[in-house]
Amino acid sequence: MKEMRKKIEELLKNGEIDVALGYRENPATGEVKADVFRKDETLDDMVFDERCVQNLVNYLPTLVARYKKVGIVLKGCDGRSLVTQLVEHRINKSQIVALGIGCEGVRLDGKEADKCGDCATNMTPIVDYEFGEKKQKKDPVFSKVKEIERMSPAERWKFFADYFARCERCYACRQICPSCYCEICVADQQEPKWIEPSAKLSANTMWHLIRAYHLAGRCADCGECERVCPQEIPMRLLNNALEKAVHELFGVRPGTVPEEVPPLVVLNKEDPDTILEGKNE
Amino acid sequence: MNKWYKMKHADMQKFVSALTEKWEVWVPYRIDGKWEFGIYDTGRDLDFPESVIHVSLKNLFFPKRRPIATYDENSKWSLKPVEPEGKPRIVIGLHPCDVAGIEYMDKVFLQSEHKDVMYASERKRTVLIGMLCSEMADNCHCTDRGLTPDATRGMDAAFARITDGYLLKGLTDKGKQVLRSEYLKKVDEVPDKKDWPAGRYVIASPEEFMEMYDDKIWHEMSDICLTCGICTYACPTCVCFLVTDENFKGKGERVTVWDSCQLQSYSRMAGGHNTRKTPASRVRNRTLDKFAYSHLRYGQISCTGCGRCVMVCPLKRSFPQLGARLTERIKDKKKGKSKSGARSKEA
Amino acid sequence: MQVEKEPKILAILCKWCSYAGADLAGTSRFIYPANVRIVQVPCSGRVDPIMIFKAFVEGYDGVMVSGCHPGDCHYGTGNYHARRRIAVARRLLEFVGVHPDRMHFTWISAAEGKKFADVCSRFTDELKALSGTEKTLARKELAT
Ligand code: SF4
Ligand code: SF4
Ligand code: SF4
Ligand code: SF4
Ligand code: SF4
Ligand code: FES
Repeated sequence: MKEMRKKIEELLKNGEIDVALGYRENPATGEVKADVFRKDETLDDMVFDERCVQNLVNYLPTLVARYKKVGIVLKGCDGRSLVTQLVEHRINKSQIVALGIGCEGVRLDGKEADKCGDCATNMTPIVDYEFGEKKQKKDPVFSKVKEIERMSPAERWKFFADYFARCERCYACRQICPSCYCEICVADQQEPKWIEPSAKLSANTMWHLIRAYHLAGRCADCGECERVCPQEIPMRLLNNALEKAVHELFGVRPGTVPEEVPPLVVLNKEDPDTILEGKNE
Repeated sequence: MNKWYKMKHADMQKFVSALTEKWEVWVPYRIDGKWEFGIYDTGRDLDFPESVIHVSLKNLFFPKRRPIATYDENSKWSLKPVEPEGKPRIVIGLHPCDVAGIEYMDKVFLQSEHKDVMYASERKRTVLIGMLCSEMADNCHCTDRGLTPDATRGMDAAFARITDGYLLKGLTDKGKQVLRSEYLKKVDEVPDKKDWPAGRYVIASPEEFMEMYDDKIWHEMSDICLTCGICTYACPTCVCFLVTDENFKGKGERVTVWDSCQLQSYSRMAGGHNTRKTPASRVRNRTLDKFAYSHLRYGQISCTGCGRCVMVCPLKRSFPQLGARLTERIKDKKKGKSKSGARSKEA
Repeated sequence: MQVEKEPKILAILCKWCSYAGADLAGTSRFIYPANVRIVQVPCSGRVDPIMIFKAFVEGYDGVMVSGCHPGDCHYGTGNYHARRRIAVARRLLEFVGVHPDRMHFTWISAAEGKKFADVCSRFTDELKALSGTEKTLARKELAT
């Protein structure tokens, strides 16, 4: 951490970056939040530890619009979502300096965050300066997804319907997701009105299915959508089910390989027709 | 009945059960640690929170989804207005900030030129029995909004918790009628007077807020807001809605659904132009609506100090906080030390 | 909750092959069940999974999507895209509780009127076999 702080100070001082996006501790409360660091300040309260849950990539587009060059502190999962932003040409690599840090896992509600148990890489795939230790990671297991897969269709639906019914349609999940950046989201479309605006089971189901589907092959499993949901809807389950599906079907682990285009954007003539068949047969 | 009456804790349960014969009774329930109003069923234990009820009462008067007209295939899709209906009901246990929220909604829906008949009927069928708060929760700041946690303004009847039961008092004719009960004993006791702390989120005057309309600060403030809609849904005085048609199997309803100025779709018009495209403009709208526009239009700022927006905000940061921060900026500006571009550290 | 005796099927067919195949089935007087409602799309690449989701939510018992055989797409590659999308959409629907037998994705050319009729009959029979199991996702009321 010390090294990283020094590096950022140096980059700011010699003008290689205009601002740095990192985590700031509020010494009074011990809270850690995303913030922008500038040249004229000391970086004493910049931290990186298990409290740094937020995915900073979501703040990047506004910053690159305002500044020429932005430094960003990245965990492994955040780095994965940065890959998506870069291959989708939302952000230009020349405008950012990626400061990767070997993440040791983050904590949420007093315990290790669920996503960290399924971490695919603790170091960002896009990196200009590397700090800390990069670990060899195994493929995610997604044990909760597997639990659901052992249920019957009716049991699965009961499980999800209970959650979907609770959704308030506040769209915090969409707003926090770096990869949900459509100018007009399908949920806001009036004509055709695929998703009715009122918060009721049928419309909420549509919302959750389409949100998850649009993130298939793009979601970096940063877990932000689930973290911010005021109704505690386990959206990572849907995301992970699709991450698992995309890996099984196309052999892709989204965001782990720089410059790899999301699997649903490209086509492969060699895909076997068997992928169209049901899995349970 | 200007005095306080006393009721034992066990009697309260019987009293409320007896009310269910004629009324639909709403009381607070704790679900997963959060307080929420629900219809009382006699079997359940009664309990009242010391302080704010997490989910506001707004849904009872101005529901999330409310049909205003129906149509169907057989009637050649012609609109039939929905007639307001419903049994008389009593809400027991609402707090001073809840009442303030209802008072504000009254101004919007009843005292403007277009009276909302649905809202009027919901209001008319409801008796409000308030409960004085015995403490202020972490985010409560009603004392900064001209209320006190033990104010009884606007309630039909009120009660307060004491060690061995409750003290009750009828305040309007409606309320007094409800309280006519064998379980009540006249007493000389009155609820304790407390000194309530103030100064959590003190804010500037509406006029001063209006002067900040073109300030740069909105961009800074919006950096820390997702512009999701949950704070507006939680807020007891956010009353925006959209009107939409929903169809299913040859039937349809025209419904009003809660909407939120924080969402990008809110201000998008036919043709695609959006008057509040940037998060900054949306954050400004809500902040100024709470602290300035409402005052200009209805003579009352619309933040009641309930703190619900702070509780639900995914970033645990919300409008009273934004308002307070803005107020600091206003003060700084007056002192002439405005530094453009400087961000507050805690952003 | 019960499936009606006659299941309702939504078939989303591409204009150039599968719809023409269905047409051929009609003109050749092949017999196939009347349970199928057809939506014509320009190309299977036009099929947005949201259509499939909506069909289940609005109460269809089964959804069928068909396009030209791989390599034959009128627009070159629409069906390769469709294959990927639909494969993922199917996994998602299965995951939240739609029975795998309620979805059928296939290729039918303009000449395969018979295949269209066969697929429809078989799919209808499969769905009939599922009557009695819960029709998940389907909404019941206007207000739900
Ligand atoms: S954040 Fe949660 S409640 Fe809000 S729209 Fe998303 S899933 Fe629904
Ligand atoms: S869908 Fe959720 S977990 Fe995936 S990238 Fe978006 S916010 Fe992160
Ligand atoms: S849910 Fe889909 S349409 Fe909406 S913002 Fe996300 S990716 Fe775009
Ligand atoms: S703005 Fe916040 S504190 Fe004020 S009334 Fe609304 S929810 Fe309560
Ligand atoms: S203040 Fe909080 S709850 Fe309100 S829109 Fe912003 S992020 Fe959402
Ligand atoms: S035109 Fe038939 S699949 Fe593209």
